[in-house]
Amino acid sequence: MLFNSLQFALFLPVVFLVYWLLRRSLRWQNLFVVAASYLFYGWWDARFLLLIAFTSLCSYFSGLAIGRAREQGARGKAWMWANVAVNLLVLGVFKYYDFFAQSFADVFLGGQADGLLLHVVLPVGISFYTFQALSYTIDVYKGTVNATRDGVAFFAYVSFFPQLVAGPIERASSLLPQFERGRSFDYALAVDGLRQMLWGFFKKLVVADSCAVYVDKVFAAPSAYGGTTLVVAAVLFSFQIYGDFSGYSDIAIGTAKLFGIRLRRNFNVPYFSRDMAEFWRRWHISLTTWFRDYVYIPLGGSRVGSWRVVFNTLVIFLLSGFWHGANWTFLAWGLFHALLFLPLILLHRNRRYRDTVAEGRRLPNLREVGQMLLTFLLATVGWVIFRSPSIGFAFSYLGGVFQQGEYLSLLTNDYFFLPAALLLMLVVEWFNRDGAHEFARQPRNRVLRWVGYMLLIFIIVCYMQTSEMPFIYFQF
Amino acid sequence: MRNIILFVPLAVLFTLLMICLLGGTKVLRNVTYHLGHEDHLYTKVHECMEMQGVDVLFFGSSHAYRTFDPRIFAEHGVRIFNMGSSMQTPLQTEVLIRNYLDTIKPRLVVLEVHPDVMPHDGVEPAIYQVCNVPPSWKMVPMALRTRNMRVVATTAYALVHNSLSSEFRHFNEPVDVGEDHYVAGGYVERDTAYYSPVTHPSKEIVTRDLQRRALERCVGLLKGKGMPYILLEVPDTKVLLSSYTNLDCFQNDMMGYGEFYFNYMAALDDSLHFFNEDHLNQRGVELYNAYVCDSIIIPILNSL
Repeated sequence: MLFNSLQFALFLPVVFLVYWLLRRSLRWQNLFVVAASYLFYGWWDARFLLLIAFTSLCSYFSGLAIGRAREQGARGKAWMWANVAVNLLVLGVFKYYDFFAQSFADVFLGGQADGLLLHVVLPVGISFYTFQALSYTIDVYKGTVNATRDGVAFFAYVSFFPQLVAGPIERASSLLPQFERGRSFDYALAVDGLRQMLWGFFKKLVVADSCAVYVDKVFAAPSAYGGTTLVVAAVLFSFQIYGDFSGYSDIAIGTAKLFGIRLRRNFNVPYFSRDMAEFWRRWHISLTTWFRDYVYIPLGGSRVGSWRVVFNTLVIFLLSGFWHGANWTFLAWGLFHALLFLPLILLHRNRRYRDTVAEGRRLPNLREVGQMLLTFLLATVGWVIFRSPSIGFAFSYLGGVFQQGEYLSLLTNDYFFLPAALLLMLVVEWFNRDGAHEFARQPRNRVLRWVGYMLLIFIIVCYMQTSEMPFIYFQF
Repeated sequence: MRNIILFVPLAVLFTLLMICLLGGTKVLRNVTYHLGHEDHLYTKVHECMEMQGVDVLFFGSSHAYRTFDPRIFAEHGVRIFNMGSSMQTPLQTEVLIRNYLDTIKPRLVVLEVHPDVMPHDGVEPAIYQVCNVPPSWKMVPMALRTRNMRVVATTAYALVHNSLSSEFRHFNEPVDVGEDHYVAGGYVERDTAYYSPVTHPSKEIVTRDLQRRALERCVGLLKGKGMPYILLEVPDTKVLLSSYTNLDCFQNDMMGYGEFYFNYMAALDDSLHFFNEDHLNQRGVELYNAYVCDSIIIPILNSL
């Protein structure tokens, strides 16, 4: 079920009402969350409910086993590794097996991989819920979280529908306790959630989906266009992927607030970053911190020798790239970012910008503008690699930037409003850059506030892309 | 909570108001109001109000309004009215049946069905219809069923605009549009041209549930009114027909909705009787109309 579908518009109010009617019984309320989440996920393909149930069961019982081992003075290492292995095996089979089999066939069998490929459908959001389940087991093993005996709460933690298919990837220490204790309806939190959802819908339906029309056209045949069009399409893809994914995260976080659940922030105005290190602290925060906590720090982080730092950095960026999908372009994208990040970390300049740009000021200075533009430019080059079907395609696209050719104008019926929509998004997010989310700050005057919301709804209705477009990150 | 309950209707009203105020300025991408179209639907729905003694009423897409010529039927003593419109899907047919069947009171209804229409999402024809047909609340369910914001927003604007504006009431649709010439009775004649057959890639006909349900409602409406009806598939070029991988399934499916005719005249030739892959030219129309009239329509009318 997509957030931008009629089914979800009917599903959400019904689930909201029943959920709060069940507020007197925590167990029934959690059971309802699991049922609603399985319905939400099963709407896409009911067969894969077995997979998510299997992942949840393995993690739940391994958590219990680790907890029991700890009570007996052991560490439960075998249980932890067994669960990690099972989860990664499932992820590997469904997401990566065909890629490796095809690559093997390309190298050793002249590309003939017919007998080797499984051709399995990639279950939506498998990387997200697998990582969430893994983090629980690892945290229980590390002792930062106690193994839960409440199976229903645990299933709700793994399958909570707003963030099930594209994150934010939650940690057990933050989300699980919220399912283990009673929740009461918080009106202010719910209103803030609706506000965040509204902004998310604007970013997805108006900004991202409209950019997608232009971007898809150009990326389908880049050789047909000149450099200017290729640059415009690359810039628009940067905004498309941001609007799409951060829009999804805003809708997910906002929806969770309606149920009295607080999810972690996933984006924090990444295109207002002054260098790539700051960019990675603001982009897909839940994944970045996952790799930091469960891979980078256990490898020694940056408190080791220079060569080891280089190795650790390469590992997390390549893993992060590969997490997105089984394609060499994602690895190349990870490597590209690792190469941009390494000079900063080796020169100990990766923590320079831990504040918000132009803090305490209304506008940035020229230096900050230059830094933000450069960071955006580098990120955009990375997105071209990310969006390309192959590395050769990416090189040819980037090479095409310096060639002349046809110009696909933005001033046509399909796109004329797009610059205004992008400007609106950037202005609103600029003035909310140190807010709790990108649409958190609102006028105190209720009339002004409501007129603002109504205008945004009007803009969505009149400028949204009308063909239903799935979220980009669903494929991961 | 009271604030949220108050806000929702206010937001709906505000959006409708803004659409009505700005819809005519062409700056709202999802409001695509346009009066007049090559199917001359505006002219037809006004003309049909004065029609009396109609024997056969045709509904359908361009395959209907470019195929059934009232002049040829009249030569055979049959009076027809052609309510076909561009890409008209069963969703739009349903609105026209509800609005005009009781006014026209034909003896027989012909529902033209086509393999390319049943898979259609109905968005564009819905927009043509809401812009060119006098405002009626019966169009609202049709617009909502498309689940498309462009249709919904344009419908909202068209309902208000066509009710209040003199532009709609006094619109004078030109009889000739490009190569097309409107003929009284709902037919649109194309200047004679010939088709050069090309091979088409194979395609499967995948009927949308949305259209299937709409066709069921159309048939239900006709049965409810005791109105005799048939379904008819007009001829396409042989190159197009051979490209469908499951034409038999489609035709079997259509038989489930009533008496269905899909007799392709062997005498029709791709390069002599068509102006494109799926529309007869005037030579083809003359041949086919005479055949349909004599072998299908007149026997049915005589049996009523």
